Formats: sequence, C-alpha cells, structure tokens
Amino acid sequence: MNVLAQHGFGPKDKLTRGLEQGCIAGAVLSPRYLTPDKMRETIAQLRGTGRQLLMDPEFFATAYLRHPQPNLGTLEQWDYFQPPRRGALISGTAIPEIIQRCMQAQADMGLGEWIAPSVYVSAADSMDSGIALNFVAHARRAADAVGKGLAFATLAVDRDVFLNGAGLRDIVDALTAVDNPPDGYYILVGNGGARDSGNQIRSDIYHPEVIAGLMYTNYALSINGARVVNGYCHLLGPLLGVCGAEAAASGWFSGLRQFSMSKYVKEESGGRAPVIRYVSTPLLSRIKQPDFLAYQSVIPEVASETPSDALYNREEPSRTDEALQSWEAVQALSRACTTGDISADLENFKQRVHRASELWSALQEAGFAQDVEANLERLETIREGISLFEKLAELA
Amino acid sequence: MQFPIPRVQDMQQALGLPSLPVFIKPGGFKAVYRMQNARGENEALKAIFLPTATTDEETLVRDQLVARAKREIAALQARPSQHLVTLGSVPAQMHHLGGYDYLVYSEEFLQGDPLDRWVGRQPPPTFAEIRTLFQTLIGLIRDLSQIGYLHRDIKPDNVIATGLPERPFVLLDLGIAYKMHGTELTQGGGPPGTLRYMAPELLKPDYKDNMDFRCDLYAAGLTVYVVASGTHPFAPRPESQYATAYRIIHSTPQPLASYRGDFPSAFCSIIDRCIRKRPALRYARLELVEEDLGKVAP
Repeated sequence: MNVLAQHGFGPKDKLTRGLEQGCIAGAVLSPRYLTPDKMRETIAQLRGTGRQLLMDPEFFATAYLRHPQPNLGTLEQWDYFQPPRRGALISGTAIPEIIQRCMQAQADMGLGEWIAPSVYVSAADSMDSGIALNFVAHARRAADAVGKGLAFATLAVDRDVFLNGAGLRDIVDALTAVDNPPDGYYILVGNGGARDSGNQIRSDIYHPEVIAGLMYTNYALSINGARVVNGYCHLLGPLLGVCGAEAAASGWFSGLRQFSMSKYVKEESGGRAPVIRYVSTPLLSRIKQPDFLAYQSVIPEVASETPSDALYNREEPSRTDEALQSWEAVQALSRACTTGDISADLENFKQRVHRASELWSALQEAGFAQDVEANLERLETIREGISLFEKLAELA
Repeated sequence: MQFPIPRVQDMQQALGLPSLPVFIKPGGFKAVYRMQNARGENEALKAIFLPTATTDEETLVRDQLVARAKREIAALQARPSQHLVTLGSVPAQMHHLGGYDYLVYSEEFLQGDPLDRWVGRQPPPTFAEIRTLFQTLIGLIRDLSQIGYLHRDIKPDNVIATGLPERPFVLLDLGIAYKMHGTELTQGGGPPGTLRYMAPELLKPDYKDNMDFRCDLYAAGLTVYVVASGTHPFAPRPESQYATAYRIIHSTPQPLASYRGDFPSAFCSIIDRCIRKRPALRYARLELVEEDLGKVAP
C-alpha cells in the first residue's frame, strides 16, 4: 500500500521532500488551500514518474456555502464549487453535469486521475446515501465525457454510517452492483466535531464497528477490482492496506489525519501549537518526542527503526521532519504487513497489536503511567475491529 | 402441488399428435410428457395447469402462471445461449382438457442425466467436468443478463448433462425467470425458487430490492459445490425448511478444497467466493469470475 500526503495548510517543503525521499508516493491536493493557478503550479512541481497526484474536490463542503461562518478557504474560487439545487440532486438530473464540471477542472490541471464529487453521508438510510450512490453510478460515464482519465468516486461518510452495520453492508452491496463502475474509490470517514487533540487516542474513529466497517468497505471494493484510496487516514492506513487498499493519505496536523466536516466552519482559534510527536510502529501510536526518548532509554524496541529516527535523538525536529518521520513509519508498517495474503496479513497485524500491548504494559511497569491505559484501550479496540471484520468478510 | 394431470389420449387429440405422448413427471403446476413431432423426433411437451378462477386469489395465481409461462417462452425465443433448452414444434396454446384449463407448449427433449444424479456419484465428477459445468453456468448467467433476465432456479435438477462435447450441460426451466425492470409477477409471499439453492438475500422481506445476477451466481456456485463435494452445505439431510433457511443465513460452508483436495485450490476459492453470504463479497462482475477462472491451470 502506498502512503500519500493529505495536503492542507502550510505544506512548505514537506511534499517535495517526502516525494524525494520516497516516503510518500504522491499527494491528495486540496483546492481549499490552492487557487486554480496555484494548483496547476503545484502539480507541475510535484509531477514525476510513478507519482500519484489527486485533487479532492471537497464538493461536499458546498453544504456550508450558506453557513453564517463558512471556512472554505479558496474553494469558492473554483468554478465547479457551486451549491447544487437539492431537488436536482434528489432527482439525479444535476449529477452528471456536476461530476463533469468537477472532473474537467481536474483534467484542466493536468491530472490523469479524477475524483468525482459527492455529498457527505451522515446516515446509512438517509436521502444523502441515495444521492451519493447516484454520484458513484455516474462517475465513470462522466469521466468518459471529459476525456481519457481514471475515475475515482468519493465516499464521504460519517462514522455513524459504520455503526449501522446492516445499513453499511447494504450500501456496499449496492456499490458493487453499479453498472459501469468507477475505477476506484476515495473514502473519507468523518467524525463530526473532531478536536485537535494531537493524538488519535480520543478519536471517534477508533471504535470496533467503525474500524471493521472501514476494513469491510475496503475489502469488498478491492476484491471486486476497484482501486481504493483512503483519505485522512493515519495509523489505520496499513490495516486498510491489508484489506486491499491501494493507498492511504495522511497529513501533518490532526485535521489532515482525520476527516471532519467541522473544518469547513470557522471555530474559535487559539491554543498552543501541538507538540512534536514521533510515530512508533512497535507501539502503534504517536508519542511526544520527550516521551520517545524516555521510553527508548528503558525499552529500545519502541523505536520504529526508520532512517528518520536519528533526527529525534538530537534537538527537536522540525515540523517537516516530523511529517516525514510519520509518513516513513506508516509506510514501513504497511510494507511489513501487506503481502497480499489477507489471512496471513491479518494474523501479522494482530500479532503487532498484541506486541504493542505488551510494550505498553512493560512501559507501565517501568513507571510510565501517562497514556498507557488509553493506548491499551485503543489497541483493544483495533483487535475487536479486526475480529469483527473477519466475521463481516466471512473470513472467520 | 397436487393438480389433475391431463390424460395422454386427451393431449394427443388436442394437439393432433402422430402418436401418444408418454407422461414423464409432474413439477409445480406443470406436467411433462415425451412426444414425437411430425419428423419423428422426441420433444418435451409441457402442460401448465391453470386453476379455475372463481376468487380474486385464484385469478391472481392463474394470471401469474400464464404470465410466467409467456415470459419463459419469450426468453427461450430470444435464444440467448446454446446451453439453454430450445423451444419445440408445439407453440404455446390454451386447451381445456378433462374439465380444466392448461397452457401447452413443447421444448426440445434432452437425452442425459439431470445433475442431481451426479451428487454422491462414484467415482466423483472430475475437475474437467466440474470446470466445464461452472464455465457453462457462468456463460448462461451472462447470456441471460444480457437480455435482462435472471434465472432464479439454477440447481442440479435443472441442469442436464448431455454427454455431447459441443453442448455438455443444458439448463432447463426458465419458469420463474425474472425480467429485470419488467412487470412484477409475484405478489406477496416469499420469492419463488428452490429454497436449498436460494441466496441469503432472497430470504429477506425486501428481496426484490436486492436481486441481481449475484443471486444466480450464488446458485451456480452452490450447484457446482454440491455436485463436486457430494454434499449440500446447508441441507445435508432432510429437515424442515426453517432449519435450511437458518443454515443458509448463518452457516459457513466448509471450503470446497476440504472435499476436493484433487482440485486446484484457486478453483475451489472461486466457488467458495460465489457462495458467500453477502452479494458484495461475491463477484461484482462476471468478467472478474472469468478472469479468475483464466488463472486456474486446466
């Protein structure tokens, strides 16, 4: 599975260095932070052999165009970013044209893989669920009308959709029954009002049914020939790679590691900048740099053993180094877990979760109490999620 | 279903046949005979019983039977595949025989074994036979779907092994075939078909919303599984339909490879995938099945 950069505010040299160093295979660019001219320039700068460049149209954010305090950045400078008439979405009449305009914008940027727009699905049995399926059903045909490009359909769904297991499985049954299906899917799971916790421990995505549902969706789509790219996905990325995902994108701040529709609304700003963190693949967690150094002095196994480790042993690394280490660790974890044999890979991942739990317990015994319980709880959630997935996918 | 079976003499007279037809078997509302056409060739003559319609319910049943027969005939007239039974010399016609109404028509008469006779056969079917059977069924599902039909009753009893190299397996009985986007023929009650070969989604109350070719794919996979393994994973012994329905929904079959270690494991995995519970976990497109089959060594 490839790791992609989830583009957002303040990329500086992270993308170019990540691509140069090979810790990312491409990027999902955001028109919220790039005007059309700047997008074209960025794409030209990042383009290269074997690199995957995508643009997330973020069309679902048109829902906030009439919000009293929208936070849409440069999205409104894109021609396709027009509020659709609800009635035309429900009847489906507007959908082919919306997709075509959006894909044309991406083709005009020089991209060869286009992400179709969609609406955000809050509940499995909602009207939006039907509208989103309609967007999926039209994606391939719309791409053909634009030119020769690969079509990815967007599945932007709230975590609550995954909590309705039967509803989710019905949606996946419907997706796999689409005539003339898209080449792939770009999947986003939103958690409503995420806070910038700087750590995924408190993330609502870490729920067994959400993890299992996301794994199931990746698995069912990929075994049926679809390419699956997961957006805003950090340490869960490798697990999704085990289930057949082609790529997972994550970025350099929490809002780029976990998707939330709340980012399209202005919120009270302030607070401290998050502390620099280190991704420990043996612990399956992002830990603060001082904690990493302290843990490593007692249990050396907590190190990810990737080239960027050296940066953390000196002074505090830069934000760019932090992003590179994060991508590098996720990529290493993914490579270690993905052989293509799903049963063996799941077993491997379960053993890693087990080993991570042992390491956290060992840290606790060594006197490091902070975050241990929360991490053990999160690992248990992952374990339950895998177990539930095995049942859903009829692998158990 | 018990219904009055027309006498062979009445059938001969009504149809002006050169010789007496021979009664073979009843099935549902249908009686099947072997007859000879004007050229002296055997054909399968079918007489569909149409109950007297004195109540609304009887009228509904009668109308459905007529409509299904017409649909079957229309599908066969389209000749979508050489592996489907073909129509015979007697076109569809109504007759009043022995005081009851029947819709009568003929199909080609197929020599060979219904595949249910292969279940538990010794020696068991070879990989070459099973592979050909599966390829034939997949081709049939594709051909039917191209004219907008689902078969809905693929099972060993409805497949004849002819022994002919150009046409080794022929599928019978499109009597409950379903025309996608067509007029509804079944109202109320459960789905028509044979429970033992029914995909799990067809056992849901909203099954009509979930029907697509993957129901036929499931039945084809299960047919192959049963013929190859010699056992039915959801109905291993006679038991109530409720028990069978429960197993269809909840039981996970043993991998086919556990019965047929002599088959390529990749082939067994394809069959196992076809009989997964969730349609999404089967194959979303028939080309994907054919692609996977292409990777299995002959």
